[in-house]
Amino acid sequence: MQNEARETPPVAPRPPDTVMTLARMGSFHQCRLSFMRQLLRRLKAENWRFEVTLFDIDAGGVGRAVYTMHGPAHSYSLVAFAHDLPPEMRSDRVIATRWDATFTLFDGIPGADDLERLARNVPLQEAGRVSERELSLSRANRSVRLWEHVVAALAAGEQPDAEKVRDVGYLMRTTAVYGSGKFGAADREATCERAEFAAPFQVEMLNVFLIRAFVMDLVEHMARMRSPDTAVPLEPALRRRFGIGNSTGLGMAPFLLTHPALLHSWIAARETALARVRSLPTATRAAGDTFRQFVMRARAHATEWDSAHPVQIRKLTELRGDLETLSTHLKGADLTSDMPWNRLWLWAEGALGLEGQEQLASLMLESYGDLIDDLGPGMAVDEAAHWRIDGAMETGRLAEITREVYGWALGIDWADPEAQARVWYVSEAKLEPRLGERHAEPIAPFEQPLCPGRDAARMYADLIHSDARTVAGFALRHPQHRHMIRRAQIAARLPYAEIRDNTIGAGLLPIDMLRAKLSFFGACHFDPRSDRWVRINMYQHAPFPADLTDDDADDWTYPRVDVAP
Amino acid sequence: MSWSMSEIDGLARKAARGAGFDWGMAEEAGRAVRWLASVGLPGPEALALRLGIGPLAALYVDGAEWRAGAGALCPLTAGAALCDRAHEVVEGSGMVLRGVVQPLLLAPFVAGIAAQTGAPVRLGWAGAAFAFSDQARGRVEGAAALAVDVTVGAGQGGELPPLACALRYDVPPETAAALTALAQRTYAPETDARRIAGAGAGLSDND
Repeated sequence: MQNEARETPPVAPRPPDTVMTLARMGSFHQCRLSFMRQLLRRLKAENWRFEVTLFDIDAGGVGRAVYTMHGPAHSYSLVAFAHDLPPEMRSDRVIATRWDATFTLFDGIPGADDLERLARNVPLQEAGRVSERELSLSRANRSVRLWEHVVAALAAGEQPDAEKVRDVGYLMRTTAVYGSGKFGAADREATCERAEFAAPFQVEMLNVFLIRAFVMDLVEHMARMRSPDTAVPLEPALRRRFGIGNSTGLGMAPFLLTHPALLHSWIAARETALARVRSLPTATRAAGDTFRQFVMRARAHATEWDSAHPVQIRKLTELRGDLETLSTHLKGADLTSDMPWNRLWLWAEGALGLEGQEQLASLMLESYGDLIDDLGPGMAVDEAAHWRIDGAMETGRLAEITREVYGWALGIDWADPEAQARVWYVSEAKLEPRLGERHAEPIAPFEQPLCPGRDAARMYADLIHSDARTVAGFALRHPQHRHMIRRAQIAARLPYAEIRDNTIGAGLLPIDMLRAKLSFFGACHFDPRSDRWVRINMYQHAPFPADLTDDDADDWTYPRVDVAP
Repeated sequence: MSWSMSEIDGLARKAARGAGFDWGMAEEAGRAVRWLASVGLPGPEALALRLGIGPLAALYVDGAEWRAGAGALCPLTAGAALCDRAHEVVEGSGMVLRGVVQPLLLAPFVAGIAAQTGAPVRLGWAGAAFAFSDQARGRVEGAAALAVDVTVGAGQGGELPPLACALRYDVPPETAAALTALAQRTYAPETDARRIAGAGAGLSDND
């Protein structure tokens, strides 16, 4: 097999012009390389030990708890504060000031002094202040209808209705998870040398994993407090069906544009993984069977995935149809010889829509952990290493790069009001990114640099008329293009660094950007609440921290089905 | 108050933008101030003082001698231009920058030149000397005069004390206030319509 592998030229990763469109990025699905899955594989492989060191919550649901994970070199503690929130105060928006529960991930095991300090700050979230001992700051709100149903059922000694559990999928949803130095927390640089935090967003994923465990304990605790004599815990299999929700707005969208080198690392890892699998000259029958099983599970997943948003309803219909088409095709397909995965992929490019293609890309990776999991830790990047402008580059070369990377943008008529209908700006009130209408309100002076296509076109117009020989000379004369020069040079080295689509056009759907990012986290069940606001489910069906020793840490992202493939 | 480096970077970037720099230069200011704070040097204070002066005339490059078209020279503009000419800086016989205000802000850029080229580089003015190679070294004695002449060029600096890395920086309240006031200019004033439309929710969250 290895000889054959050398003889067959490997399949190249997909070109960035194909991958980096908003429509495709808005169809991404979680995969083996997603950050939640990387985390749980590590926790299991390294035998991390879980411990509840404090659980002090009263009958009104108010109090605090500490959930600690002990790793080989460090321990981390989720410090949770549970609150009694009146319904009128409950909002997922960033403008909220109170939540059902607030959290921080503490670096180590907090002492009494730490807990007192955190009790004064964490419940205030953005209005409070954490320190270099804390790695994150987050909060969550209840799903009111499911919460009350579950507490009432358990208190009465019954299990909650499985249908209702399926419909919502979580008891609380986080509405922000801040990491990396926000509100005084430790910078990523302070912990990124630790193996457990080498991959991106591991702090945030650990934080959410422990929140889920806490929320499940809390709901059972509340049932016991309501009716100590009759209350029962959740039946373990039903318990696993609860994920932790997340509600994400525009605040997350600019991240993909402000971290071009990082975006490249994420996409390049997944594209490299796909290319490796497509390049396999043959596959075992077992790999094919596993794949067929995963396709069935993906169908079950797509059936459980609900949304009331017209765009997502259409995409779900497309996805379910694509999975049916794929299943039919697989009945007669040979998945063992003659580069089977590449043949399957080439078929899919002509037979499936974007939702189906991206689902297939993720599914094709499932059987090949040994071949691709090594790509995970490399999804982080030293952004500073890619940040300096190469001033010695000739302006002709910069123009050439601009045509290569931003050719799609040079063809847009930017004088057309539709082409730049939107403005990314930051509001005075909450210091959060928002999207405004350029031609309806005077917000252009506050525009953030989140429109590389238009800015590349502007730079190019000056570039082709410039008599500067080098980029250094051009940048000195045109300081307004400095931001764009940097981006273009990064994208020349890192081909997946730029979204190759208009991020300020009238047709922009910010939820596409949110989905791309959240899929890399490992999120499922994307449920847009508008064109710029999405709810998701995280860790649904995953083991709980205490179960990791005995359970498979990675076989949970698609629901199990009991039918043979 | 103890600030994280990413907070300092963000505040400095927004303050520079609020003071009128283009975004690309504002990003340079953020990185530069972060770098200084991460070796315990008063980068935020220097930026607040620099931005307090207001706009300065464009840089005029004449061989090895740089000056502003008129008046004092901006350390951010000059620093970025030096970095863009990293190889000229280390290959030439040294250059002079005339009348630089807050020259401390040049240090991160010159450190960047050493990192980019792999060649040792020195930076100095009356009362201060820095040297960058595989290690950053430097000494600053007292505050710089209003505008000073600065020398930059290839050279070692083994006699200077190494700069120690820091993960946090205490930004003085008056500096934080000055930079925050400038950063505020980058935020769009709130209106009810914007509050409701801009973030795009509107459905009930009590479900």
